[in-house]
Amino acid sequence: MTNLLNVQNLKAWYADSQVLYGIDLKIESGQMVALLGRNGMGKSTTIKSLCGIMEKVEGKVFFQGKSIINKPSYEIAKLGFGLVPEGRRVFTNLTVYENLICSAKKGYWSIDKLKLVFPRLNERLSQMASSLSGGEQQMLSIGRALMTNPKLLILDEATEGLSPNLRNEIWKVISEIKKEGISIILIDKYLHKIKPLADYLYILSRGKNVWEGNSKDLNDNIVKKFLSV
Amino acid sequence: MTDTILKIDNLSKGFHAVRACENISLEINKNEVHALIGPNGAGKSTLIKLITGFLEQEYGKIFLDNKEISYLTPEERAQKGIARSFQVSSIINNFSVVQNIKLALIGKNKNYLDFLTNINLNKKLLKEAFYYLEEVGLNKKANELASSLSHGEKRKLEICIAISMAPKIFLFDEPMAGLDGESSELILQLFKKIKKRAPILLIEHDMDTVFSLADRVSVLDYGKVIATGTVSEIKKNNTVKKVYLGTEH
Ligand SMILES: Nc1ncnc2c1ncn2[C@@H]1O[C@H](COP(=O)(O)OP(=O)(O)OP(=O)(O)O)[C@@H](O)[C@H]1O
Ligand SMILES: [Mg+2]
Repeated sequence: MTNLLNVQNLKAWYADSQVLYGIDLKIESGQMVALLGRNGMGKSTTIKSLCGIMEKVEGKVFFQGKSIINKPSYEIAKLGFGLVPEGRRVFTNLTVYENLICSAKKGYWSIDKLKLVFPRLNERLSQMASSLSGGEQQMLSIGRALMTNPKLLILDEATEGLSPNLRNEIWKVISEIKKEGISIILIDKYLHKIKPLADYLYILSRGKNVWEGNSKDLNDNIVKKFLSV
Repeated sequence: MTDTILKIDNLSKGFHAVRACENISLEINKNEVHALIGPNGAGKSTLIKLITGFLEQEYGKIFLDNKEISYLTPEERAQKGIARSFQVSSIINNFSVVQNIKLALIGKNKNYLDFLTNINLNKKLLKEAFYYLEEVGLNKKANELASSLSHGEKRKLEICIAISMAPKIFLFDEPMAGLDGESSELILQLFKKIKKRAPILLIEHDMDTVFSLADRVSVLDYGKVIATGTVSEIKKNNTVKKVYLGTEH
């Protein structure tokens, strides 16, 4: 297996307050890795740091052997990062179609393929993204990331706000993507859905790694201690 | 005497070719959590916007406590007792937790006069604010800045602001979005408690939450109510399974 992403001692700050205190992560090509942890423990900040969205970061981040720390987000995106950020972010001043094609690259995912997963988006290609419902915006955010045909797909709560049957559809898409050999970093609250799919899991707490392993090592005690009520 | 707090009668609204809400009739009764579910884009948020007055219906009527409110402004409807949790947070970040509640109370009592001097001195206001903070379990954080609260605590503060308005009905549009299991559970328990003050119309896509909380469920699809019933009735409904629940629930 070849290493795709290697993160060492990653630190990050919001203004003066530090939120990451040295995160380590590794993703091999074709792997799906899950980041787990309660609210506010640093999962999304880790993602933002990898994608060049945080203003102040320190540490080492290698993507296919090249250092990408402190590179601007558009350069990182060009290397093949496809991000579905938390909180359904789409370009609200563009139409659905423009959102989908503005960063698209040729590959497995195309508009034709996408419309099978999200028929609703296909009905609304000329609608302004700002007037979509919450869930429709979430579909668009996922669709846009898929259309970039990324090497590494990063899903930060991608199933949030989607109806139960569409959520299931997304889980199917995720396993399909995995079969295509695309690597995935995943944050999601449905642990029972993550476990069968993830090759490796990391738990973060207060901006640090507190546990890592594979799904079968993630026992009830660990879940209780770091994740549940 | 009827137990109906909010009555929606034949309400409709479209956007160009999209019929977002089509002849919707619903009744929300005293003491109930009434869940509103349905596919993405079915018209749930649009309905909330019609009830709060942020959108105007094409036709149809809305009654609160038997009085028609269909043509009131959003402010007037809020004053009459319609509380909603805003998608965009209504919290003022550089105010303390208790100041946020006091501000809401001042707004409710229309006591704007010299509130800048009053807000820190008025004992009655402080007592009232603490009463509500205790209700949601935020009293220990009363003097911290709102910006320092966690995600879940902020959501609680928003709900606390809604409670402090002593409304006749709560409208919540995906209040658990982005919350982890622990925080969702806290909010869920809170809802069980506050539904006795005023009924809750709840939009939520997490079925564990809906099924453990709802007294009744209504299902929208393409702007129409396709079913209303108890949780067990809704779970058994084949159309609902097909258009929304899927095979897992
Ligand atoms: N200004 C507009 N122009 C065109 N269509 C619109 C406009 N505003 C809303 N819509 C459409 O109306 C439909 C209903 O939207 P609404 O936000 O009520 O859905 P919802 O049931 O809340 O969905 P979700 O579960 O995804 O939040 C959607 O298909 C949406 O795209
Ligand atoms: Mg909505």
